[in-house]
Amino acid sequence: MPMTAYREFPAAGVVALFDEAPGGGDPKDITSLRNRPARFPESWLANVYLHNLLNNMEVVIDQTVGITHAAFASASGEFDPGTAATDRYDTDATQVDFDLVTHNLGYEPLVLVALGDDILTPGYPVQNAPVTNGSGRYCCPFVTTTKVRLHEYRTRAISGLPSVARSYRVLVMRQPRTPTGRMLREFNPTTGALSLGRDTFNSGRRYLQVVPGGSPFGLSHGRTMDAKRGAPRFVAPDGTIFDPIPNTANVRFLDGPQPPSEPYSYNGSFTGDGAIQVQAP
Amino acid sequence: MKGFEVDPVNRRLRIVNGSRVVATTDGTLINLIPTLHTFSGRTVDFPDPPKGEIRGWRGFQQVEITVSTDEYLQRQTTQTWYCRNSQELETAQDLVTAPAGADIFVGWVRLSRTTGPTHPWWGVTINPLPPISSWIPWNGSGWIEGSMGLTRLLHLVIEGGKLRLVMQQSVGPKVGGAGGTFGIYPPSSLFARRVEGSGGIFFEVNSSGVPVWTSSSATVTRTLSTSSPLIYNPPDYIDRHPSLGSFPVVADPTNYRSVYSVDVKGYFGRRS
Repeated sequence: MPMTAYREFPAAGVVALFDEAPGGGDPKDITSLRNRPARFPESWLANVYLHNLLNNMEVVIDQTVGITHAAFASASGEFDPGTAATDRYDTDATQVDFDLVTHNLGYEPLVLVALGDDILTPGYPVQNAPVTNGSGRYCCPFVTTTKVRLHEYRTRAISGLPSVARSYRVLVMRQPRTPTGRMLREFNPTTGALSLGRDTFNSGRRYLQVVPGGSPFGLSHGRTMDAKRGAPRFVAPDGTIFDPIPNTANVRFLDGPQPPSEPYSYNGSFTGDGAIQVQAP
Repeated sequence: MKGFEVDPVNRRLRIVNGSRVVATTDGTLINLIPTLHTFSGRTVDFPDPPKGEIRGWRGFQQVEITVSTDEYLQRQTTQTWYCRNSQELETAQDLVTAPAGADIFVGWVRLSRTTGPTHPWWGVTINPLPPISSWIPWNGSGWIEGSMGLTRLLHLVIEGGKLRLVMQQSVGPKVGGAGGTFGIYPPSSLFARRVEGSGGIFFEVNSSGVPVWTSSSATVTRTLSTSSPLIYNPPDYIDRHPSLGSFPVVADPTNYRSVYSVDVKGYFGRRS
């Protein structure tokens, strides 16, 4: 009967914690059918808990950065004044970039930026109007070989938004480490750290994890936005829905008592694709 | 406790470091396959939405009768609003089949716009919203472009066992009153004889969407004026709006297509 096993295969340089595959065979022989998750982890991902050849997203920087976002004004007004008009709405031509963290890793790292308990998606609403009117402030992280940065863009309505301060928690993950030394398993009694796979995994380091308890962040799984009737919908990892364009937004001709259009607000049914809860304890 | 725990009661293996659970068979680590997948120069095309047109006519009449001279002015103006009709469009391209057991893709996207709209949409220049030519740690969906009645999205997701790049475009509903023809006066007797300031406004619609652009170049004006004596019979009197087809057609110069070159790189993995 397949079981959960921790095995080391010195000749292959493999150490793994995994659920065995069917088929039996010698437990000490990596070529046994039962050991396929250890031998071919990329094909047996569902069976693997830990494997020294897989990247476990080691967190090397964990910083919280405060950013003050400036106030912005209302939308520019009607299109073709006097002839065709609507409730005001546009995307602001002004976009702003901020520095979050200097990492100096020399490559573009994997990065997660969290606001509250949500990890930012590309274009996450960080500020809404108290009463939805079309105004919104959105942020998208991006990376260079030296920095983690934050890109802000806005939508504007009949009123803009005031200045707001936000705290962003930035998790930077390094590339997988190169194996060092000869030991597949080593325990340091002084530090209590367990080193596996020639120190490619070390319990003294921090790894992004899916764990119960603690203070996890929601990492969206699947789509995070939808569009209908010309309007966007955002769904945060925690399931919060934001439709920036209100039902009062419509288009009509000013001349004469022309009726308004249908609302230009979102009228779809997207509620998000869920999220996994991760943290780096 | 620091080290490696074997828990036969709960059938669990754990690597712990004090209060931290570093790895456990309860499933904590995210395991990424070390193979970096790269997809360079993928084209994402947001097409010019279906076109429509609204043409408006405005007529105005002035009559001045004096002892010595009568003056009559009739001004007719037509204007064209170019429209984009409502649309819900989604186009996906498969990048690669996800490895067995992989349920996440962790990576980056870099965007470069190679073609942009030729004109403002609803008075607003359509600019890319995300950062351009920079690697964006991508998670789900991004808002690429937007304005009144226009939303363009990009999704990078695993769907149907494949990593897919999905373009989505949505265009809003038709402008109010756009039901064929409409005006603030009945379509007859718009110019009352000898009535100062009479006239009207009338629209003909060949559109089911959003008016996005107009300009003075799309305006054609005819002015008829003459002087005494008039009193009872102004020349070339027109008592209603003419067919808008009798006015010169101003071709639609707009094109709202946007094309992006998209680079994607990243790793497949699984939440253990």
